Amino acid sequence: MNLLPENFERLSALTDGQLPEDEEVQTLDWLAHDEDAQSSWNTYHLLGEVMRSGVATCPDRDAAFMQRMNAALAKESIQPLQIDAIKNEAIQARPQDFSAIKGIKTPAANDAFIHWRWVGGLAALLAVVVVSWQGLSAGLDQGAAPQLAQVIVPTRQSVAALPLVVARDETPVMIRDPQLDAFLSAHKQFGGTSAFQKPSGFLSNAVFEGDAR
Amino acid sequence: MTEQPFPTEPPKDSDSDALLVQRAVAGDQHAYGLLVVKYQRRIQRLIGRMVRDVDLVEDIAQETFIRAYRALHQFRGDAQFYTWLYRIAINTAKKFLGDLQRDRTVFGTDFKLDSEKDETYSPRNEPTTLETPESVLAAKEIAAAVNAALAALPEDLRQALTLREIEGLNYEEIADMMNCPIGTVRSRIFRAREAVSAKVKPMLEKQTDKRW
Repeated sequence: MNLLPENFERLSALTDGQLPEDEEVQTLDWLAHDEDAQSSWNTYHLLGEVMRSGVATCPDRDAAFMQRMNAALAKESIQPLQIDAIKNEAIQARPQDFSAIKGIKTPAANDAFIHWRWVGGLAALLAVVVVSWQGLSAGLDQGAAPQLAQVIVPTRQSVAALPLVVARDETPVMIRDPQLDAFLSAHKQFGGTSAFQKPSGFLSNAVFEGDAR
Repeated sequence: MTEQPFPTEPPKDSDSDALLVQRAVAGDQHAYGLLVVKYQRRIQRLIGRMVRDVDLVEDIAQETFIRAYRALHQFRGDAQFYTWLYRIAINTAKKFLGDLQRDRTVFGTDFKLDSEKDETYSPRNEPTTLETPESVLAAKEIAAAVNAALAALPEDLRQALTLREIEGLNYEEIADMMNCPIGTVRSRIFRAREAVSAKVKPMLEKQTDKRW
């Protein structure tokens, strides 16, 4: 038990947060283990509350409250500060540090505005619609009854009999089917034109032209 | 429910609070207990403006301190500890009251919202429920003893203590106002506290046979 007045004066200054830093640690250590210091700590704060509010709390309720608090705190565990500090620092650093981390894809600046997958899908669908429209429109424009294409269903025998011509050059290799080539030649007038009988250059590029073209 | 305004009582002692928080985060629960002792009455008074049942006030206050303890590692120290604690208390009280609203049997007696708008509201004028007459009397006796001891203080001691506890000035500001050295301010405040404590401590120890 340390009843030196200067210790209690330091405690009074600590109550006000006005104790010099070099005295704080020592006073807190003393306060942590000395019952008289703890009693004075409680009384100093009680005094301040009475002065500010004009009312006091009941001492036995205060004591009971502290007992319940101590019991509740004893069941709690607190995470060490270092772990959380590191975690928080890592979380804060992550958004600015993408470029330094391999394997992490930096999102494009306009990703929030344009969904490129949707654009690709729509483009493919549009191409199919245009091709289909050309085929139908050309048939209707010519005023002829729609001709049913004579589909030659290749049998195993026919397929086996047909030689396959493989293009061998720098362009991507395509395995040619003579039956397909014959079909294309028969319907050559439908290729390379739009619904308005105007050249559609990009579609002509979409077909592989054989020697017959 | 409208939000409570920020606290107007500035306990300008954030340095010691920060030190206690550091110790508490490092595992010193006793350090946190010192913070509880320091702020429990203030927090209970705050909650008491929203809740009349004294048992419920204490429950909410306890929950406030438990929540603050669990979140202590998140306290950055860029604001005062009491400000941070104040926010937790308000949110905790709101949650409790929200849960109570579902139980209509306690709606009318356990809380009232008028205190926020009633400028004449004072905890002094509002009796709390479920307090025993003995505890009410004990609290009144302690308050009376404090006021009597303050009135009996020499003027310089009373002035120094009043400037610190009610006006919230730091020692340097008090020294400027009283035209004396900071060390004298520190000594006067200490002597004032000791003089009042000498009258109050016996009453505190008499009321309870247990140490706080």
